[in-house]
Amino acid sequence: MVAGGLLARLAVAERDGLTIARLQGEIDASNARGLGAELRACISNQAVGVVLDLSGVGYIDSSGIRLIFELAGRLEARRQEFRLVVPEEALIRLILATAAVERVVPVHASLAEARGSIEAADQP
Amino acid sequence: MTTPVRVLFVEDRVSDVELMLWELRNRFEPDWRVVEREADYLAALDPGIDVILADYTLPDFGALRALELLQESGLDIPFIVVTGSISEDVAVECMRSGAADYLLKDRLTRLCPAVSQAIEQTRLRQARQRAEKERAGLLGREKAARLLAETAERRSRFLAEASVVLASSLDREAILQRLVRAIVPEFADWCAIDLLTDEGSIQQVAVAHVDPSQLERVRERRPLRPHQLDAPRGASAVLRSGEPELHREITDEILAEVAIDGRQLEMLRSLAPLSMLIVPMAARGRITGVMTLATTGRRHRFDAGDLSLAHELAQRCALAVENAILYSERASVAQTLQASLLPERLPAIPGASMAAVYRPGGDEAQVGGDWYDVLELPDDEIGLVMGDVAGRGVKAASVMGQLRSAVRAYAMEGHGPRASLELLSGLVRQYHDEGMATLAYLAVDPLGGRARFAHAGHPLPIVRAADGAVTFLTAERTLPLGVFASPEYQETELIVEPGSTVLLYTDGLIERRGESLTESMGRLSRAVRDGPADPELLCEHVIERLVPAEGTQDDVALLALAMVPVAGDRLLLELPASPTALAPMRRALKHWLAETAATPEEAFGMLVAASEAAANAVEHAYGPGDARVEVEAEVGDREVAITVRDFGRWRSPRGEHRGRGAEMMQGLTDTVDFARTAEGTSVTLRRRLAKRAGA
Repeated sequence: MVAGGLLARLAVAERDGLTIARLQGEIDASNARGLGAELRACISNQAVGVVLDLSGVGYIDSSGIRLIFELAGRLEARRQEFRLVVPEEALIRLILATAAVERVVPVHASLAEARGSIEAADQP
Repeated sequence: MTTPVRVLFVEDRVSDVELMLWELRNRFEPDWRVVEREADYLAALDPGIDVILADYTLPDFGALRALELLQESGLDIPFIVVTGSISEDVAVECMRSGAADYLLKDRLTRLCPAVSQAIEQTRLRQARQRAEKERAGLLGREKAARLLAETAERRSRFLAEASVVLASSLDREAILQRLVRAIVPEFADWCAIDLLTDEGSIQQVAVAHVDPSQLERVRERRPLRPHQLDAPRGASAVLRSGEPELHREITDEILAEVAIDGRQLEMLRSLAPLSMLIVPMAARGRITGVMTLATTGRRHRFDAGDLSLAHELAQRCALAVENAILYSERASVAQTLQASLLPERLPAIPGASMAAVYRPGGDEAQVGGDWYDVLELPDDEIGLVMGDVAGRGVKAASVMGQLRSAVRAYAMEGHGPRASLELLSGLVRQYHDEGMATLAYLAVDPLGGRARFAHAGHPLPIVRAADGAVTFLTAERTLPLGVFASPEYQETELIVEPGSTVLLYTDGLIERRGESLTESMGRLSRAVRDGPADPELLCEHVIERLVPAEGTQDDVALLALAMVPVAGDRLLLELPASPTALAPMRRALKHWLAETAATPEEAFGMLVAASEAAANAVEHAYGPGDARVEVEAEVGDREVAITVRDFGRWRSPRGEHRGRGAEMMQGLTDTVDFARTAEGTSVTLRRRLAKRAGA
């Protein structure tokens, strides 16, 4: 059983020391908790950073925002980089802006941009 | 400590004998012999055998014949029938023929208690017979002996008659009612049976009076609560101690002790009993109730012989009740299983209103395999499934459970009606080798009405359009599941119009003996055409028109879906107070907002704000089971207003998360107004639109 049920799906891949988690669907009070737990279980201690790709997310509300903030706090404590990917034209940008997510997690328009940003930050 | 016991098995299966021996060794040290033919059985019968355990059916011998031979031999050996299945006929026949008990092979944990009890009863009966013989000899007077013999004969004849009554049914209430009627007036002037309930109180379940007009008075005995069960004499004392009471002289003092309260005392006084017997009913070592008998002035006082007869009767009665309970448990296993496989409630889906009816048919112990389900599918569709598994009982119910889970799993993987049917066909062949199943599957988008339909040999769903016109979803005939290993099914695409109602059903609704399918389909069409559009009312209407008042042999299941238009200036949604209702709520709201002048950003902002308010309401709503949340949306001149109401107690927003939800509502709308009323809390969100409608 997928944590998000029919409403959302999570796919996680490891590439070059990066954890890339792709969420698709809708995130709300019914599935945010389960998705958060699944995400935390998928992120290894060894990863340099985590990119959460929300390109396929059509809906997110405060329960999804909380998921992002909690994950950010956890990764910060473990000194792992964290980036979000949200396309420029996506309606959910409105929600991320309202919650001021960018003050805590950098938001990029594409996966390549997010990876580049982590690589740059990882250089001594 | 184990007791030596000599057992004669009448059994043809070594493995069953071993199982029984294994069970017996928990309490006994068995010395045993196995026979499977009549001649061997006769040769093996001897008075030293403690108990006979006989299989009900052997290739050329059986329990009933063995029992007959035992009785012809004159030996008094307890005889227990061990059966693989419990049919009422078998049970009744065995008890009627004089078996001490019967057991199910799959419930062998009862073996030891049953053997102990049977042996003990036989021992008591023989001791009593010896005592009576001795007593008769000691009296030495011919007249007394003859009188005694007559009484004994009358008693044993009565016991035999009562045993027939006890074995005549497996319905507990019926058994007890018949028994008390057999006792009064033959043996007593008044008789009542009180059973111990699961809650520990005692409840009168059967009563008879020699003068039926007195019954109302006698029936006044109410259930006794546990704290009343401490009287020094009477039913409660017998329940506690298991010791029977014989009251040969009834004084007012005794009545006062036996009565539980003033009202009962009054009743007992007006009955004016001459003597009373209170005997425990015990089955398998457990006291299950008491039987109280009274004689009035018109006959003799009870004596010790009456006491032992009543005691014996109560034991048999207890056993019959216990067997009736076992039987009803068997029946309810299938029923519970089947009921647990039907959805407890249908999901609330904006745009669609649904209702379902399930009517079990015929024998309650033989539950059928009709089932239905409503699924939330990907791409905002809902799936309506109606199925029928051939056969009845636990097996059919478990197959239908497998089919239901499989349909749900296929839906999760994105398989539609046609693909699901093709996959299910293989499943039916694998798990239900001797059977078939039919299934109808409609996937429909409740907001747009686009639908796909496929069926496997199932009666065709019927559609009632807004104007009352009636059509069948498809005319195509297909084969049931499980006929071919890899069948091909067709999928019909169609539009279910707003205002129309679709009805899925099983064949129990239409199949009537002596009526052609064309006739019954015509009857169904007329009933649906004349019926109301509301799904619940339509189901009721169709049942009333098609199902005879006395019920049907087959089960009947109905599932109706009505398409409710989601458009206009005002939208009212009612959702169950559950987080899973949020997504369907958003879908309907999104659909409605798209019809207004709101820009995509304005619409999305309102959607999120409303969903936050609804999530809040879901958390606040309280109440048993059916708590709900209301969402009302209105579009006016350049403004959208959405009000979300819950019907729970007000609680202040707690924690960072709730604060964030409120922040989100504030950030995405122009005004947020909270109002507390007696019923609950409402939040109204307003947002001005950049454009006018139509601009």
